[in-house]
Amino acid sequence: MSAYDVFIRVFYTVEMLIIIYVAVINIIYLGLMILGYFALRAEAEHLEEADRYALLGSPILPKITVIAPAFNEATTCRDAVRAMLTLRYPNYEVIVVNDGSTDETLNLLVDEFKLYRSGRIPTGTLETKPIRGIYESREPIKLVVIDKENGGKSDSLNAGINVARSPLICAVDADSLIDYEGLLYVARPFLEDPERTIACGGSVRVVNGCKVEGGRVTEVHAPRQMLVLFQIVEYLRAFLGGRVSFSFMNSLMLISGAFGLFRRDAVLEAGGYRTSTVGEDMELVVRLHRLYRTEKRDYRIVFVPEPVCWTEVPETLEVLQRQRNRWQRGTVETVKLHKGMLFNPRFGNLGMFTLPYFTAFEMFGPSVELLGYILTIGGLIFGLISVDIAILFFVVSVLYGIMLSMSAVILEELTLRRYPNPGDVVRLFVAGVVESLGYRQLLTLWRTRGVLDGLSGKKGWGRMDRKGFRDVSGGEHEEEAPPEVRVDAGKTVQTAQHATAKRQDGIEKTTLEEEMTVLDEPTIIEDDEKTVIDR
Amino acid sequence: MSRTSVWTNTAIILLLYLLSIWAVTEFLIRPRLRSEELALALGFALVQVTIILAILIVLLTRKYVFARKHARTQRLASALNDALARYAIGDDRTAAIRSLYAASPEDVEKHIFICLETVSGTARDRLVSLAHEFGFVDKWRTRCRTREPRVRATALQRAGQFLDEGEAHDLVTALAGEKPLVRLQAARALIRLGGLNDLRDVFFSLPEQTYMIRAIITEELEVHAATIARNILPQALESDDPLTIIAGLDLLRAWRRTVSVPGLNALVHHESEDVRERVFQAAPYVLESRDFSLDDFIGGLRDESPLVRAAAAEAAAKLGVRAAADALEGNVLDEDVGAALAAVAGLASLGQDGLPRLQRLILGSNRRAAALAFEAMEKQALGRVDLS
Repeated sequence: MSAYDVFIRVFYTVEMLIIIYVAVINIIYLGLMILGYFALRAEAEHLEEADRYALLGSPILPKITVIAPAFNEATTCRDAVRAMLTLRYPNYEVIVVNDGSTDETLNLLVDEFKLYRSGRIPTGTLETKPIRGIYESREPIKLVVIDKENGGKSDSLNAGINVARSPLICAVDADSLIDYEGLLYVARPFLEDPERTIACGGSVRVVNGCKVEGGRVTEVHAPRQMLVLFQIVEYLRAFLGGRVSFSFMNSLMLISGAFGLFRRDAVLEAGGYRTSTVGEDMELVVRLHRLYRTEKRDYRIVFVPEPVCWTEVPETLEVLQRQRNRWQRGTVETVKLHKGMLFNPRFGNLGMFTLPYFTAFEMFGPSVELLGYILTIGGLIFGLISVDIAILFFVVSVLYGIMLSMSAVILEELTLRRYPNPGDVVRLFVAGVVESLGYRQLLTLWRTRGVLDGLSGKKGWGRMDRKGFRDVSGGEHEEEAPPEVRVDAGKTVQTAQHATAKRQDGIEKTTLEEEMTVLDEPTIIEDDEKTVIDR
Repeated sequence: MSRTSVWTNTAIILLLYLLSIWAVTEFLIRPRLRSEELALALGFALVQVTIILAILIVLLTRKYVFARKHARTQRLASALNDALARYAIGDDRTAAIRSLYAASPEDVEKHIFICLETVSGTARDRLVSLAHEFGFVDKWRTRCRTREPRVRATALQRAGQFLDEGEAHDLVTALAGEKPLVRLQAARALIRLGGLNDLRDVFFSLPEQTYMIRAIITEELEVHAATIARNILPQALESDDPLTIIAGLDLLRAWRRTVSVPGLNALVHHESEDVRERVFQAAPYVLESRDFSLDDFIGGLRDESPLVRAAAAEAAAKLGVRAAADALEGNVLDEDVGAALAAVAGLASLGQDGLPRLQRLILGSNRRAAALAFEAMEKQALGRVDLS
């Protein structure tokens, strides 16, 4: 046999292996969707309005702290916080963590919500960048703002967890829109099985194209931009197929960073969010699994299919590329960190199926598929493979991909039916078809790059440009005028501010009476980056 | 649907897929193609596309039908509500209602049940007889025994509107049903009946319910708070089952209204820490809170469980037990943060009996205690002391 023949044979074998690999991914995904459908039906017990109303009056529901990290969110922070303060849940508090913003985020929040510098101290044990100050509202609203040095999203979440005092903490993105009833949906597993449930995530939906009024999504529509439609189909596929099934098997690996509810003691015990990864959401969930399974504790990490959060997806290829690169790096980092769990029966379904699935298909899938495209096109051009084989590859990669996307839209329609307009459903179907003809291949390329970046240890989040949520009642967010110097009355509050400032700076101790006297005069509190004048 | 059924159904569907793919490949595609692999792949694709298109057609048709129904409901709603309201107050609207029934029986049914929930007395009796006349009552009574949880839950909700106290057997059986929402609707119907035995059945089912269903039922039981406190709670609090006691104490905690529950203080020595915690949480809401002695509070503040220590601190604060201030001050140094926070909040809410102690702690050597004390004073100054 000549070297050329060997080459041809090797080439053919590799091509067939890739075809089998791609076919297996798609078949597993189809299996997960079927499982997801039955799991959704089994757990579909929707609370009626009267039930939710009764629940809302119950003081025995556990308290939740919503933690929203914010970095240079001056454009959207006030509306986002206002929306967070009007969620439908009887007992919750919002902690906004200003992660060393260089814009007016903190001042705008101080001004808008009448914040004072409070004496509240962190009670958690997670290590974070130094906290410059903790602010609370003078008004009867449960809002806390932590001002800290820049340390990234994970560091901010950890700071929020330290300051939180409720048994449950909800990590959210400040730029996402929490569904009005999102906390009720996501708290439900904790009410049904409080002893075992340690974390819960829900469906993150795409807000682009929807009607938003007063910080709430009031009408769900599919937008007209194809790029956004493609992403909606992807979200449906990921959330309704994969996550429902993995949750059913108690091996859910990812609770979206945009919205996740956790038991605070479990997160503290696990060591909080890891600051050295861009996939901190996935990494924390896997670490929780690891901790609980290692110690053979009975637990569950749950996914609820209801939309708990609405996010604005990228509308340009450039931003989308950065986002997907980051997601892929997050997957690579998590798998690298927890490779010891792979095929380890001690970790149950997670070790034997879900993590290997993520490693083989979610992590390396794009690279293998890209190789398949290259080999198939190259093989066809140079006559190394037959036309039948090339067709076979495109059937299993492109045609199966189309069918999966269409199945995801069907699954949505069979179960949740969030798009009331038949035209929207048809549009999503069309997107499901077109998505596999170019967009998917582009994603494959970007994700392969992400794998390489992840393996080489590249860090960083990249910039995410957002337009802000369109609000039909108020139009788009207008540019804010620079905040004016705030003059507050209220001697007792000033006392508290002054004393806190002194105590945190460790300068001196004075009695409260002395401070009262001091505060009869205007007080200037020096901060790292700004000066707040109180009278 | 149990976990086993989910797996079984998934396996059956996958098996059917495989069979269909094999059949399509073998009989439809392979005779026309040389490549076996390609034939298999195309067979799979053909089956999948056919299924997707079939479901799609069904879904879109369903969506269209639903949209039409919805439009019809919107159109009829006003006339229907008007006719039913007038009928309920004595007008003869039978002909109008019959004609609406001919147009849309489901809407008439739905609106009768909605109206029934809002009226009483003669108006209610008239609507009930109308529901009988249209056969809705028999229909839902029969469906109370169906196995389909969603249908059963709706049936219990609707049939519960018509049942008398003697007919509650189906509801009691459903209270122990498999699905939480079925149990909830059964409980609701029994609460609506409001007889002592019905309330007793609902109450003693609480320990078996999920926390969520318990929270909902607890709220709905509040309309019968006095009856329950007088006739059911004393028996519940003497139970050997801690879960039953906890269910009773949770009612008091959730209702936050003052009711008479003699002998509650005896439970501060209960062996279950959950019971001890709940006793202190419920204490501020019972008329007999004066029966709690200082020793009871001191015992609670020194309990081995931090949850009990925290609950005792909050109870002492809410009840203004000034004599407990020393013990509260000691608890500020508690290694459990929750208990320490409750202690400072307690001191802050005791006013002049607590504030000097907080000042002392601020100036003391323990940094954490000083910080917590400072925070509590700050909250007190703002009128926002955080007692749960």
